[in-house]
Amino acid sequence: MTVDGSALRQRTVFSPPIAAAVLAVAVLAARFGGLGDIAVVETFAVIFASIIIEALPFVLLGAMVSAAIEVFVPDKAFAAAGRLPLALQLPAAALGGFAFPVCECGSVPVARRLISRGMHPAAGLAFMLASPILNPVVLASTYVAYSGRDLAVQMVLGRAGLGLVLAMVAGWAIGADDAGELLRPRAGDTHVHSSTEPNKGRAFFDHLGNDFFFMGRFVVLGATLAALLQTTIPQDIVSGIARTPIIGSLSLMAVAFVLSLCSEADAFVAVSFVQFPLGSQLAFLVFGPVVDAKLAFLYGATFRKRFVARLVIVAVPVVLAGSLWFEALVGN
Amino acid sequence: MYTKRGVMAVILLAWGAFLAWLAISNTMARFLGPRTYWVAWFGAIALLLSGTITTFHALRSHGPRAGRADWAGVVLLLLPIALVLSLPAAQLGAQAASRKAVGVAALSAFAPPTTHGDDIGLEEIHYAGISHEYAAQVGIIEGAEVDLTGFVTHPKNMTNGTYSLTRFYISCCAADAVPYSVAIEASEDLEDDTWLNITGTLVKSGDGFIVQPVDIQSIKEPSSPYLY
Repeated sequence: MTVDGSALRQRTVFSPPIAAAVLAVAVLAARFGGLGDIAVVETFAVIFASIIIEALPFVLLGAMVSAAIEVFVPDKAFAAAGRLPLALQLPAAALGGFAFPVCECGSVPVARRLISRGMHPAAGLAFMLASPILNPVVLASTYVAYSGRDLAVQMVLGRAGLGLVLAMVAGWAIGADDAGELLRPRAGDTHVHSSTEPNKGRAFFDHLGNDFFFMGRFVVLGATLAALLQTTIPQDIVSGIARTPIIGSLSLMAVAFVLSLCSEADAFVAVSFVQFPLGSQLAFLVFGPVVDAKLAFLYGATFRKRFVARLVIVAVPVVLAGSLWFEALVGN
Repeated sequence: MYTKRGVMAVILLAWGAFLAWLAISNTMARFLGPRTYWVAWFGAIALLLSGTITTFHALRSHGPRAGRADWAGVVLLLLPIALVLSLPAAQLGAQAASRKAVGVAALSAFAPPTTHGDDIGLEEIHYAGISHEYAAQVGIIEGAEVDLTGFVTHPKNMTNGTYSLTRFYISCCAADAVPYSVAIEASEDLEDDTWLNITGTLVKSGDGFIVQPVDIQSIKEPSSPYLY
């Protein structure tokens, strides 16, 4: 007699109705047991939930675009684009971010899809890293945040320029020639695939649900790390060492990693770091959308090992050099 | 019995319903600023729609079963909803202010951010302590009358005053909140997180200002705990 091993294992490991009941009891116990009276828990919960509440709709938007690319764009379009020389694909992809008003949580699944469908990995990375900085909504909010200080134009140009350079340099340096060397294979890809699903509408929603469901859990993990760091580390420890541009830029990059802000919001925070040089504020605005605690999890799930480490190794010197140059040009 | 499509549908619908509840009950004011309210509305509508269609697909067709990783994803994605429901009154308070405070250092060359209105608020008083030109420009001088609402905190580096009155300013979500405080010279100390409305006058103290209160009213927490 044969036993369906996987079904047996699932039944013994996990029972959805019981798990749902346990969760409901835990919520009620926490609610009436006074969990909310613990200040640290309260701070953690608000920051944790607010990052996820703001990020998940953008993940969904990214999943929609990604699913549309998978289901509705024919293979030959990507084959044609993939044959273009890299010197052309790279800047075109980076500038493509300007036409795509989704910040970092949305651009990761889209870039993954572009690469898996035949765009050069370097170009796909350039797109992914550029779109959260170059997108019109982000540049507009940067303009608004800095207009009170009469620095709006300089800051927008500096951010867009350095973001574009960083995206192309990092794409070129990290993007392997072969998509398989860069992308982490995902179980869901083999389960539900457009080739086995003749109904285009169903294929679209399968991909949409898969991407949202897959990326969503890494948003939760990333938000956990970001909220833990924000709840425990006092931000003013970096204030005292803000004076020199180099240390200032490096510390604001660290702050950007910890805060994990959406790039559409970060300019309003950057402008409050008045005791830091302007170049350091620019470093915060360019580094944060490319590497932060929340993104580290999204990248880790999407790309092969050591991607985050390699990205940091490229991004830190590029952003540092750019911020020092910016400071020399417009700083006071 | 549980297909992957069915599990995905449950998550899409759960988050759609959760965001819809946050938006309709205006509970989102504890997490988001007005500038990003549209994100919650968009998420609610798009998730409920995709969830409904995916449910339909799950019921009408066969598909792969949900595996272990899928169930882990379900638990992870339901945790934030459970946490928010567990803490019905959670908001950023004195503990968060002690972590998120940005240091005050007097600067010679400094251009402050835009002011929020004609009234003198906590943010204006904070920046007035950093720049004298800014203080003069927005009319923050010794003896100016103020009417401030906030909660009680006791910052570590507070050098004078009995306690501080603090309010968070947020732009997109609570993760980007910045607290602004002013020291209050009161006769009696109060507990952290007590909401107060204080009218009084500004008095110079060191580089900045503190408030000499005329009237201190204990109030209920305002419906929107943050300023924008």
